[in-house]
Parts: sequence; C-alpha cells; structure tokens
Amino acid sequence: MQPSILENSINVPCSPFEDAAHESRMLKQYVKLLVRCDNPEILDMGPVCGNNISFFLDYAAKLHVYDVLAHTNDNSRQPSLTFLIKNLTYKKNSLDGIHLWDMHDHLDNKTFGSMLSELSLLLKPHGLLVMISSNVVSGQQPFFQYLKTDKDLTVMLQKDRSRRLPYFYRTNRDIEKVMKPFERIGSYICTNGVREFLFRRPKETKTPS
Amino acid sequence: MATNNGLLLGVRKEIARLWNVKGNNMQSSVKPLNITNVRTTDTKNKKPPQAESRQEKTTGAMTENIKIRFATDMEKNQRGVATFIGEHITIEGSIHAGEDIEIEGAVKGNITCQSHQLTVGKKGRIEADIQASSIVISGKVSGNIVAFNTIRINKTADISGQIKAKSVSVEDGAFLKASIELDKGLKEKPQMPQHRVEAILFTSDAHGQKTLKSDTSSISLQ
Repeated sequence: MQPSILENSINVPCSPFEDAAHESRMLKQYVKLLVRCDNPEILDMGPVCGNNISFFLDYAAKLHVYDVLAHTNDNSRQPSLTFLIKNLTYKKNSLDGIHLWDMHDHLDNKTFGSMLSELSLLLKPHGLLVMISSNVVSGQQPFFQYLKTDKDLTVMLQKDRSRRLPYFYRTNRDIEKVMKPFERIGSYICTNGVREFLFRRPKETKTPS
Repeated sequence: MATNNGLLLGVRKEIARLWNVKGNNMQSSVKPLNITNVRTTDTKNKKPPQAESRQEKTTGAMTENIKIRFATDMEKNQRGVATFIGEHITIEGSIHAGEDIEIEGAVKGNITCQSHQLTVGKKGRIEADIQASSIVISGKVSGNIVAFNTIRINKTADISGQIKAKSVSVEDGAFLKASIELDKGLKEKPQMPQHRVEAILFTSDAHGQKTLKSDTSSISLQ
C-alpha cells in the first residue's frame, strides 16, 4: 500500500529545514531587551530543549517551562482551548517574556487567538513575545525543535518524529491579524524556511477581535 | 588490682549495654512496629547486611516481600547507590536519607537527602517535596525540588512543580511543566545526626493489583 502524501511529508526529509542553521536576529533583539528587565520571568512554551533552557536560565531569574503540545493526550490533534487555558496557571502581569517555538502553526485561528489574549494578560506591560515557526506553505509539517548552539544565538533545527500534529499555514498578514493584542517590534524571514517575530504587549491591552 | 579493673570494665560495659537497650526501646515505643525494623549497619565498623530482600511481617495474614534493599559495600561500588527502593513499594511519609538513594517505587510526602544523591528511576513515581545535594530524575515527579548542587533531568522524566538548583541540565524531549530557578547561593544544610524513614508502607504484588496497608509508623535506619 502506497503511503499517503501526508505520510510522505513526514517520512521524507523536508529539504528547507534539513541541517538548517541561522543566526537569529529577533532572538538577539529579544535578549537585548530582556536584560534590561529586573529579575525577568520567562515562559517557554516550545518543545523542551536542554540548550534553550540552559541558555535562558543565564538571563532569567525564573524560567517556566511548559511544552503545551506535549501535554496533550493525542499527539496528532491540537489541544482543546479549554485544556490550554486551564493549564496557563501563571500570575497575571508576571511575565517579561514568552517563547512560542514552533507552536502557533499547530493551532487553528480560534484556539490560537484565544490563547494569545490569555497570554497577553500574563505578560507585564511591555512584556515580550517571541514566535519562531516554519514558513512552508503546504502539507503537514514535521515538528521541529530549535537548538541554540552558542552565545551568537545560532538556531539549529531538529526533527521530532514522535509528533504528527496538524499544520495551519498563515501568511504574515494573517499573523498580524491574529496577533492584535500585541505590538510588532520586528519580524524576519530566513532563507532556510524559518520565520521569526518579536512582539510586545502594549501598556493598554487591546481586546482581540 | 587487675581483677578489680576487669570487673569495673565489665560493669561499665553492662551499663552501656543497658543504656543502649533502653534507648532502642524508647525509640520503638513511639509506635509499635508491625513491619520489623530494617536497619543498615555502619559499614566501617560492622558487618554489612545481606543484599537480598527481606521477608517482612505485616498486619493480618498476608506476608509480602518488601524490596527496600540496603546494598553491600561491593554493590555500592558497582552501582554507586546505597539504598534502593523497589518498583512495587509505596511509601507515604518522610524519607531522611544519609546516603545515596535510588527510587523506582512510589513515594508521597517529603524526601530529604542532604549531602547525597537522589536518583528517581524510570519507574519512580514521586509526589513529594525533595531536597538533595544532587538529583537525577528519569521518572515522574510532582512537587517542589531543591538541589543544593546539580539536577539532571533525563529524557524520560515527567516533572511538574518548582525546581531550584545551583545548576540544571535537561535532556531534549523531557516532559516538563515546571518553574526553574538557578540559585547559586544555595548551601547544603548540616547533615542530620540520624537518618530515618518515617513511613507507611503499602506493598503490592508484581502486577500492582493487591495493596496492603500496614500501620507502621517508622523504620529506623542507623
């Protein structure tokens, strides 16, 4: 029996990402802003990655690690909104930074939008939100982890074959729309198929449309 | 004169013996032990205990193997672990360990392992606040964790709670919902004079079906 196109896209190495590494401009800017905060508190919602944790522990007074997609029972479906919001048990206005590593591409617009409005309440005014995701238009994408190898903030990509999550591609304009509670500081599209965004919570939180 | 000295020495020894007996009685009179006391011996001065699991008597007609093993010196050298709590053991209460400890069973309560390493094996299930000199986690832990030196979180670990340590290393893919704080000023507290396990023991068979609760309140480890 022939494997389906979707299965193929999991099994065949995805050329734009394979062995790809780049120096992250948005992360550099993020770290630069983060060091200005007093005892910064960060929430990392991406896949658990040892290098990332070690790196950010040098900057953060407290690092909350919560790989929300790993905590779903079924790794082929997105988590429910109720599940996501119920588990965001952090104090309001307590976080200086939030990392969404390869996460929003696996949530539909409604779920992602509602989660963002929750996250905007957890961030302090002017708190930062980093999003790093793929820029591949079609197909169910393999899940990637990002490894920072050194202080130059080189981001490397790694496959996680254990997850088969759905993939929702969004254009930059779609992302701008869904990110309404936040102000964009910068965005960057890398040639290796990675997109980076840096947002900030405005002093007055906007209500999502 | 020599006879007098010998007699005096004998009397002293007898007083010391009676004193020790009294001390032990006082300790055990806190609550009658249904599970016989399990003791480790001072490995420097005394004969090391046998490594095999002990058959323990419990309340009721049931008798179970309780796999709390105190390793021989040879095992300590080979495995680097002094005390091993087996997969089918459930402990509720506080563990104060004065030597390295490895847990493959379930523990609910508090674990204090000052100046020594605590290892939670792949099958370990801990619902407890943990304090140890260094910690290695491969199993499931929920609670607040303080490592005075390092904490190593392996890929198979599933942790929820707060982690405070001098240094943290996490293997990719570990299952975490945790808040991590590095505290370089963490200092080990002075070692406890006596190491005790105060516990209620639940034993189960190999399939984990049968659970037997005993009303044992303490196990003393010298």
